[in-house]
This record gives sequence, C-alpha cells and structure tokens, in this order.
Amino acid sequence: MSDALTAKHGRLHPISVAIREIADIFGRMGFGIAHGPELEDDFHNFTGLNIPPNHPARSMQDTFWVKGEKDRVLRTHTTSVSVRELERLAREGGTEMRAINPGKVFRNEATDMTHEAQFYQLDGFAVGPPGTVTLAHLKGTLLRFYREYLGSDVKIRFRPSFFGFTEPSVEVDVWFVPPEKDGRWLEMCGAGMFHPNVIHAAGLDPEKVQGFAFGGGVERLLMVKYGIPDIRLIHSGDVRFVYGFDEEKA
Amino acid sequence: MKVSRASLQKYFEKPLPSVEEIADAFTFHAFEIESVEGDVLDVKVLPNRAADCATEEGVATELSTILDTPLKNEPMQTVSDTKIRVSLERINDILGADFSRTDTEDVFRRLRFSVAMEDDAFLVAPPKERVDLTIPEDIAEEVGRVLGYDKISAIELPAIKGSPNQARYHGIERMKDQLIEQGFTEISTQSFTKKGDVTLANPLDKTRPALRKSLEENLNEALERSKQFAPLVLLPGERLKLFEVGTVFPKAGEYIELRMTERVAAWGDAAGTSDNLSVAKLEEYGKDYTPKRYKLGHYKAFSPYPFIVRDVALWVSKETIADEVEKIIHANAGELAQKIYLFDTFEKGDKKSLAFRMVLQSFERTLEDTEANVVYDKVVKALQSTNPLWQVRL
Repeated sequence: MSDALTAKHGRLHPISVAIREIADIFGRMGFGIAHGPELEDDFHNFTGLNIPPNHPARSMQDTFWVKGEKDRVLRTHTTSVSVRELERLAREGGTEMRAINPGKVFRNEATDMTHEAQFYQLDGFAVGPPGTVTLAHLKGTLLRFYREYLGSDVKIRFRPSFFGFTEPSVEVDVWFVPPEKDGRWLEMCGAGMFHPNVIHAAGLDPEKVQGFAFGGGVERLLMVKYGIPDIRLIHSGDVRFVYGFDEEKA
Repeated sequence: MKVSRASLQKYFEKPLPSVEEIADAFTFHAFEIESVEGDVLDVKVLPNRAADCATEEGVATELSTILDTPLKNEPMQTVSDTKIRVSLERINDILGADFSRTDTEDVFRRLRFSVAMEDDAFLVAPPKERVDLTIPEDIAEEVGRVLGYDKISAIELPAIKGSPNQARYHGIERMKDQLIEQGFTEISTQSFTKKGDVTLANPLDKTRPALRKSLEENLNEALERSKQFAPLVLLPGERLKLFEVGTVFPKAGEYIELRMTERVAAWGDAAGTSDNLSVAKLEEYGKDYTPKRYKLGHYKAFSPYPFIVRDVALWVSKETIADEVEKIIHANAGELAQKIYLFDTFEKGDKKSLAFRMVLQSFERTLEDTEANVVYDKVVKALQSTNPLWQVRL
C-alpha cells in the first residue's frame, strides 16, 4: 500500500474546535481564559452569586448535590469560575479584569434533542471602574463575538430578564441566517451587569468596580453553526460524529 | 399567567393595540410571552415580579407602564418606605447610555414612582408592591427596559494593556495537537458512571449515580463501539486511536485527566496511556504556543443502519489517472454509496492495478446483500463500457 493513502493525523473534537475559535475571538478583545473545579462549594456556585438559600433563582436550575456532603454541588454554570477570578482580583488589589470560562456544567433535567444533563458553558465577564464597563459594552462585546463566530450578517437584541447575580439582567437573541434558509432570532445567552452583592461578596468595592457577565451553551452555538440536529450526539463518544464534518486547517 | 386581551381591556378606557403588539410590548419591555392563542397571552412573569404581577390587575398595571396608556381607575397609591438614591449619571454609567433627565423622569412617572430631588440625585420611592426595587441598579434596569434596550448602543471595550492570559488553556490544547499529529482522534463522553468515589444525592439516571474516577472505561467502550464503524471513517490499514481530556473525580480530589487508548510509540517507553494535567506545568507548556485551528463544514448526519462494503479492482494502463476512474464509480454507485476511495494501487509491467472500496448504506433501512450486488454490477458494467481495455478483476 502506498504511503500517500494513510491518514496523517487524527481529528479534534468539534467542541474543542469551537472553543479554540471562541478563545481566539475573545483573546483579541482582551479576555483571558479562567479555570475552576467542576465540583463546587455552595458559596461559589450560589451564595457568592447573590443566590442565597431559598432564593427563587435556586429553583430555576436543577442542581446535582453530592451524597453525604451538604456543601458540594456539580457546578450549574461556570459563573462559579467568575466568582473565583473576582476573588483573585480582590486579593491582587486590581479593578480591571476580562476573562471567559468555557467548561462543563451540569443540570438535573430530562434530556431531549436540545437538552443534556451535562454540557459546556461559555461564561465570561469584564469589570472595571464605574462607567468604563457598561451594558452598552456588553452589547458591543457580544455583537462582535457573534459576528466573528457566526457571520457578519448577525444582529443581536436584548430582552428584559432576571438572574440573581446580575442587575440589570437581559436575554440575548441573535439573528442568524443558516445556509440556504431563512433568518431567525435565536435565544443564545443570558447576561447583565454584575449585581453589587456579587462584587461585594468577592471582596471588591461595588463603588469602585462594576462590570458585565454573560453565559450560554457552547453546544447551542455549534448546533446553529454546523446544523447539528441533536445535542446528544456531541458527548456520545461516537467517532462517527467527530468525523461527520469536512475538515480543513484554518 | 394566562390573560386575554379582552380581560386586560377592562382596565383601560382607550382601546388596546392588537394582541401581537401587546405581546411585543411585554417581550421587549417586561416579560417573555410563552404563547399567544387567539387573544390569550401566556405571560411568563419573572420571579422577582411575583409580588406585583401575581394578579390580572398587576399585569394590566405593567402594560399601562410599558404602553404609556393610563388605567381606567388608577390604583390607590401606597408608596414604599424604601427610598432609593440614584443620580442620572449613575443610571447612564450602568447602562452606557446618554438618557436625559426628561427621559428618565418620564419613565418614573410611567412607573408611578414618587420622586424627590436630593442635591443632584433622584430620591425614588416606588409603589409598595414593587418589593424588587431596592438599589440604584434596580432603577437603572427600570429605565433601560421601559425606554427599550434597543436604545442602548453597541460599544466595544477599549483595548487592554498587555496580552490576555490564555497560557494554561493553550497548554492543554498543545497536548491535544501533539496527539492529533500522532493519529489520535478526540472524543467526548459523559461524566456519570455506575460506580465511583463520589456519588450524587439526586442522580438523573439511577443506574449511573456516580462520577467517573478515570476516563479509561468510557474510552475503551468508545473504542470497542467505534471498531464496527471503522470503514466509514478510516482508510484500510488505519487503526482507530482515541483520546479524551476531561475531569475525573477520585477520592483524593478532582483533576483533569488526559487518557489515550494506547501508548504513543514516538514518545518512548516511559510514556504511559494517561496523564494528570492538573499537576502538569501547563502555563509553561502553553505560554508561547498557538493551538492549530480548523474550519469545519456543515454536519453530515450518519445513518443508524448497518453498512456493506464492496471492493472493485481493475487493471488499467499505466497512464490512467485514478481520479477519473473514481469519478465513473461515483457517477454510477448511486445514493447508497456513503464513501468511495482508492485503497490500493501497484504497477506491473505496463499495467496498473487500482482497487476501490465502496461503503454502501441506506438512511432508511438495513441494506440487503442483493441490493449491494446491484450497485456493484452497475459500477462494473459502467467501467467495462467506458474503456474496453480496462479489465475488472471479478
């Protein structure tokens, strides 16, 4: 058999392909990448995010709790990593920071074509002195991100929403035109301005530091961009999924 | 909460706009509308508004604010004891907007706030029912949503000093790039498993209540399963080699594991099949590295049904181009052919042997051998009639 017929390299999983592209786009806007544990304590997943015990926001996400340990949960969002990063900023005495935290999160909800109990979340935040990081900057950052990732004809819009850790809070819709199909508005992420209680809980002064936060599913982005019909294919360990795309080096 | 346009109309003198316009007003200024059926709106009242929007009257009052249309009977106004001090500058600093004093005061009027001035700041007393309003940020949100978030421009953040820190991430991705160069393919599997050191109090799947201690089991399972699909994804002679990078949860504490289905021969005898990336010097390893980037095409679904392989081998002249022969096979194999490729070629005297593989599969049913034979016969006939000098080896 001729050598030319043997494949030279394996394949990178589409989630990794996507996060590399996302990291690159945010990198150009000054965002670092932060990491944190998947098993979290109550403070970093909830209380530090202005979601105290019995708060209505806790019932909005079904949480996996660890047996025999009151304080440990599988993180329901990577906003837990943002709390850790804000704590680091407080220790270092800074007032400015930008980071994204792509990582696996867990929700105790029934699975179907668009829901999985475990998925990757793209969370991110930017903070700075008052007036320097605003809701308008959130819109500018997300618009640039979605345009670079999904295409230049993308539009975005905000709708009012409620999350314990942001005030104001918004839902972010993205106008996307799939190849050879009609454009439509898609709900892509939740976002808002950090609630002053979150800034305060991390050990920072809300009079001196304010900023925005956003979070959405990475799989949803992938499904939209590549036309993947069922989220359950992505973490199935099935190689046919990984090989289901024509691949070229960018 | 389900509420009809007709029932909302009872609270207003002026005729309300169409049900679609009411739905849009709620969507962009207050609450999501889950559905509209006839003239009935399903309003998803946000959890922080449960106190003032629990009743039809509460929802009508909200509609009066966002449409700026007076209620027939203004409710008896009871003002909250909470007074929120907020300046126009602070509101604009949060929103990144340039709203005027008039704009803002108009929003306060529509929200039925009672407002006094204290130095340069507003002293806002919301209606008693609005228990969700306690801090300046709450007032900024009210101004933003009532005026409309479409009034907020998109502004990019200014450039930041220095380059952002992505070193640790690049360290992990460098490990992956190394493995891909060695012919390994990355997979992603589930964190839940049958037995482990950490068990969930409320598992979703009762048969998998624990968190994985290692990636080994999932990886081996995936490899075993993938062997049957090898002809769909690989060329003959290639072997599937898989790896995964993921968090594992042994008793001693979670860490990020890298695991492969076999050793990397090129890495020497000391290299094993797994690594603890949490203790690796990832920042150092990644700080000057740029991960490789790939462009993927649109996803092509795979068929859940079994496939059948048929090989076609033929003698051709030395000058014949394999691609042209392959084109003829493509043109005649029909839509059952998922994959066609040259897998073997050699020369003998003035002749050349070409061997092509066809992977046949239906998206609707399990393929019969007889159907595969029909495709094969059609391809052979087409090759023979294209060039009588070509000899198909039957």
